[in-house]
Amino acid sequence: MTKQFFIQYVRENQERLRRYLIALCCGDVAAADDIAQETYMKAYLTADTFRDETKFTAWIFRIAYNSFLSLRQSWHPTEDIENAAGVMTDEGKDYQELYLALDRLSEKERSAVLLYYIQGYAVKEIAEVMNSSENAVKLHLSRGRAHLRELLHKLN
Amino acid sequence: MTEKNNMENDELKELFARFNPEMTSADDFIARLETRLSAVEDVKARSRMHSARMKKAVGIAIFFGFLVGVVLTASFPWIMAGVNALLSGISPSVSEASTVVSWIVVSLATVFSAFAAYDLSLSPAVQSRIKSPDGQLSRNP
Repeated sequence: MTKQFFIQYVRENQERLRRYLIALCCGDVAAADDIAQETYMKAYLTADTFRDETKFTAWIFRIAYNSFLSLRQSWHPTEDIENAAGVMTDEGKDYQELYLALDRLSEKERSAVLLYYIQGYAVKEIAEVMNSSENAVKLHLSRGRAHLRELLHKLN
Repeated sequence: MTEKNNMENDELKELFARFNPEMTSADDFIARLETRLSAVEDVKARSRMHSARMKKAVGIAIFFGFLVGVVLTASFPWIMAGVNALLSGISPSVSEASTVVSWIVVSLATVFSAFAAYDLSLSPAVQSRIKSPDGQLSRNP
């Protein structure tokens, strides 16, 4: 894959990946950007070994998810959800509740929910991205939804 | 219950459909990525060039080693006579081993010339005269 072609692909698709990563990083835009950069670098370096072009985007999301998992140790811990609800600022309040709720989900639940709702992936595709079985994804998705609803209600 | 779940799923769908967080500019993001990709391309080009140099050096070493080996083997009778004369001057009993010593001399000379050719072909003076694979004169970092 040539650099120009790759850059063109990134130009057309970066927004969706970055939106997914921002939500996965619970609103940490800088970390999401770093992971997105890392993802595209890894993809560019190994793109020649990738054969199935129809699954290229899913493959990119898989790299992003794995990069997120390997960098998750550097995440700062957030406050308790009950306390955090009271100290929210006006700035970015739109998604503050969502980020706080997402932060309380496990990484697998969070990723499954985000790939389902943001990327519109089916269970099979999510399983490929997360390197899990379809049954495991169904479980993460159903638990993730339930937890997210419960947490959002708590915050509201 | 199912109706309630569907309604709540729709709420989540709506919530994520509206999800459009503020991001750093796409142009800045792509410019940063392009810079990093260019750096990677540069490293890859250098690595390719280095690999080509090594292959050339190995080729030159094999060629010179073979050439010196052939020349020395062809001149083996003279080498053996020289070694024989040298050893008999030291001790007549040692001169019996002149054939073995001659072969050792030929082998060592062949190996040494191959290594010398390899080293020489990697030296900056020679490298500056060898063109890189992309057609540009190579420069040593």
